[in-house]
Amino acid sequence: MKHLIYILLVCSALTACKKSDKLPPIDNAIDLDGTTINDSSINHPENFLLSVANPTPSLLEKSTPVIIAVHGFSATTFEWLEFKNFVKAKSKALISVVLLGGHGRDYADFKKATWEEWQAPILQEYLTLRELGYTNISFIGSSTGCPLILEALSTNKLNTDVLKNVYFIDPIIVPSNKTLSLVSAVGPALGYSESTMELGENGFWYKYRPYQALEQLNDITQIMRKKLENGIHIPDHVSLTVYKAKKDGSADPISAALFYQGITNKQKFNVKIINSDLHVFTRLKGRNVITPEAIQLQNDVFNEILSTL
Amino acid sequence: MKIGTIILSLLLTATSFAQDSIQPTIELGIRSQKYTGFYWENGVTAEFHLRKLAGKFPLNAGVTMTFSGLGSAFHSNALPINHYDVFFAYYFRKGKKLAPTLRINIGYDHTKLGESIELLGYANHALVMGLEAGVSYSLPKGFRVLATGGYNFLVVNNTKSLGSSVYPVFGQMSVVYCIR
Repeated sequence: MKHLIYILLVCSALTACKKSDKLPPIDNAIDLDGTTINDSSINHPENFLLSVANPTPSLLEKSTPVIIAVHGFSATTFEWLEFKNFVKAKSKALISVVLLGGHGRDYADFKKATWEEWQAPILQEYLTLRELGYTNISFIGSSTGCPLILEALSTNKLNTDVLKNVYFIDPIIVPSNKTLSLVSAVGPALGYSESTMELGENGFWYKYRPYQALEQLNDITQIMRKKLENGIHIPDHVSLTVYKAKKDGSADPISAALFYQGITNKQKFNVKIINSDLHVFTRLKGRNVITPEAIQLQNDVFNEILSTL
Repeated sequence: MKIGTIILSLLLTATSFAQDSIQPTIELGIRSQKYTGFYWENGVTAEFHLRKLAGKFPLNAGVTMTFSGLGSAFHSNALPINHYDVFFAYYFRKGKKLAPTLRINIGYDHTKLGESIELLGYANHALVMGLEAGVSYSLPKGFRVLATGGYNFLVVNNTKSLGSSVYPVFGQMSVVYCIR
């Protein structure tokens, strides 16, 4: 009897560990994960990428501040739509909104993309703008966009001679959901996880997150946590400002503490704790509830960023 | 460090109260633990064993104190985390060299987030409850090795912030020496 129980336990454990190849129930009509809906920047890059919109800048345009906006995990250029409109309305700077590799397409693309592939369009846009003669470039990243930018800065993938400012909004270094650290162990058995999405976010975020993409997210956050632990020296002429919401269900607020500990040259470095419970508080469009305080906060931070470019 | 001193004092008081009547075994040792996807913490552990509590049940209990300052945060920018646990253990195959063990931990976790961050209300204290399972192996001359895996199933922070440096899954190895 004892042996039978052991055999049953081993069998059930092996069954649980079996790789799950099941596909999520994607609705092509409304889900970004399907093959019908794509991010607009794929078909109309001229509306998003400055390098495509203006490949022959004038002398004045070359010295005008340019800000490259980078969205987070499973999101699209939609995450920076409000900031893009804000920058355009103020006419003080130029904006380029990058779509991460593997994002904004479909589930299969998301599943196979590595974090290096997510990062590639960021590097490409910066290096192209630099080559075209733009001399005052800054980055603004949200959530996973932040470790991707920081990794590029820490490994000299970018020639930073024309880089002026970097702004991080709710950077993820430590996830709020610590079970992400177990994704390689339990992910193959689960296949994917479904994210809870607000109505207005449908079609702009991937609803289903394959475990392979979550593994990539775990990898890049682990890599950057370890790099911060060893100390990261950002180029002395580049200013770095981290905005971190006090409560955040995606990026653990201790991520801000790790930045505080890990950035070794603090002359042009600043951490600002924001009284918000929204992950990426700079994006309000698509949320079910938008309070006047949240609108005011968004406006204040947008103005602050624009004034420091 | 204060909380560690309090726990250790309580344990020593309990053992000295017990020692006259039921002669407990006391072990002291070192513990090294690693959270999956997070830090190494190293520290000390003390465990005492009463063969019969109130004449009926065996009691195995103790404390552990581990510090990331002696692990991942040693000479690095990792966050200094102090972790204190009181635990109660049960050993199967009592008296055998190899004994499977189960234990429940009730702990306190303090993360030093840096002054400017702490002032703004980030969570830096947490109460933690976890379960551990593994094996104990008795070595000659009063030494014993314990290897267990654990799962923290409850983390309660000191603020309403969601911040926490406690990861759910960990593995640990301890080497203890019987001092009496």
